[in-house]
Amino acid sequence: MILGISTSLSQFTVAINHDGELVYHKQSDRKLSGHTGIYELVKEALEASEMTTADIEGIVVDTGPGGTSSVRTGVSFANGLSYSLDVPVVGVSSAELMGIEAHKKYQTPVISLFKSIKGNYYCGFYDGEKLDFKFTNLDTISTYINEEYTDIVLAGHADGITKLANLLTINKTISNIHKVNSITLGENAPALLTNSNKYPILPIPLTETSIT
Amino acid sequence: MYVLGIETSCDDTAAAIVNREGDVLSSVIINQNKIHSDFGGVYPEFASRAHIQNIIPTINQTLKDTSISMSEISAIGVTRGPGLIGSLLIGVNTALALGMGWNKPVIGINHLRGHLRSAELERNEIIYPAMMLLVSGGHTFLAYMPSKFEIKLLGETRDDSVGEAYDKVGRMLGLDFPAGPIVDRLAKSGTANITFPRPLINQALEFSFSGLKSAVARYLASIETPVTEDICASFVDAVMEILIVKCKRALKKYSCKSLVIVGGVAASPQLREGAKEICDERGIKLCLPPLKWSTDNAAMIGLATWDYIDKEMYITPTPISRLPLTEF
Ligand SMILES: [Zn+2]
Repeated sequence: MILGISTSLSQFTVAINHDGELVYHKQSDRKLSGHTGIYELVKEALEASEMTTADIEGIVVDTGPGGTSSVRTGVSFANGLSYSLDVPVVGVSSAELMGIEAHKKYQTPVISLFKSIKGNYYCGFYDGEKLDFKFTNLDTISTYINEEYTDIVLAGHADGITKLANLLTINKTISNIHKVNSITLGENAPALLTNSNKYPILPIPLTETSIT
Repeated sequence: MYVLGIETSCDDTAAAIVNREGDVLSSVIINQNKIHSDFGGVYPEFASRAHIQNIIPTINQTLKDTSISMSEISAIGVTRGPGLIGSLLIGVNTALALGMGWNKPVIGINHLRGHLRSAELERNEIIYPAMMLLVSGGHTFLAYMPSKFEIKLLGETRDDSVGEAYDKVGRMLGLDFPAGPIVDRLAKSGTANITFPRPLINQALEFSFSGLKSAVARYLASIETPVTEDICASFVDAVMEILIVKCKRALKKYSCKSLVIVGGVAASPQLREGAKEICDERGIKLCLPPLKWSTDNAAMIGLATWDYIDKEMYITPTPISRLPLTEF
């Protein structure tokens, strides 16, 4: 069984994939969950799906971008569980999770936008296979997109993508994908775990300093 | 049986394995002094980032350093507060996950109780009733302890902690962070020829250090060729007089069998000397943690965990940045 955990945005998410099937998924508001809510949610998930920690064969955890403290909540929990159970853990970006979902729907390159401090944005570029990142302002991002793409789908921060769309001269589609989807996380968890080459390095949250 | 202690309340990532008697089987501390040195203090965002990278390697090394098996670990004790929320939540969530994976109870520990118990590591013993002076980068207070589990706060600082005052003065003088040991060392070769104020010295058991820090800043601004050693000596003189006067006053009011001095500043040789004089005078026991357990560490958290086990206080940890001394 593979456990998926995401705490980067305003929802805490847990998903369980068993033999390639999504068997459990739940989202809970971050404010209600608090700093240790992910522990409660994982406990609940195991009970509801009648499994124990011994069934966990791998963990996929969202490394952001997102709220710095909340991303760390999920990543530190996932790393601790991976270490104590001696099972692999891999990090996946919230941008990739949104990209996967949008790409499945539109079959077009996707950008996932996240608001950061001082008017800057994290921008993930997903082409259906891999993810690239930029951390800069909307003007620079839009110039880059106008030069590199002919069609693009916009996901992520709702106000941000509306503003970005106004700066784009290419074909663009504003999606209604603004957050990590627990079903996407659960359904793609096995592929994310096997495709990743990051194991056995423990995931650390994404920050502007880790994006060049 | 043993306890695994985990500490991430401020800038050090620490883990330790401790038995009920206070023997420390292993202890690993990864400090971030290098990172914070550039800022002259702890920068919370960098602290959290370093904790998440260091915590699993720290715990892994702690377990590797001993030959005990998982079945010999009774519980995991983790600091739940007080401290930086972004740092605490990394320790707490890691501990909860380890507890889930290893099937061990996870207990939230008050960092301040950890400091208190640091004086009993390596089989030292506090004799109650005791007077406790906690002096660190984050805290400064006096408390009376009629017994191991009863604690009465007598006075705390109204502004900066002693450790903060040391660090800020060190920064003004261009010294490295943490500045405490350097200031103490320089003070020894200087002369206390500058009269700095002793804020609140006549006022009961409250402390204040921001006026002293400002006086050092004013002095530095007013003089052309300051002598660093003399400034350190005069500053340390003022700090020690304040601490010693307050301890004496507290001991006059509450009759005690020991004086316990814990926290990073308890490593100060000047404070150790002054405290020894008080205790010799009154014929009471001076309880000081071994030097390496004065600053933040996980061995003290591990030893404190046994108190919670004995009292059956299995507190599910939630990070709390302002956790009072009197709470468990
Ligand atoms: Zn401390």
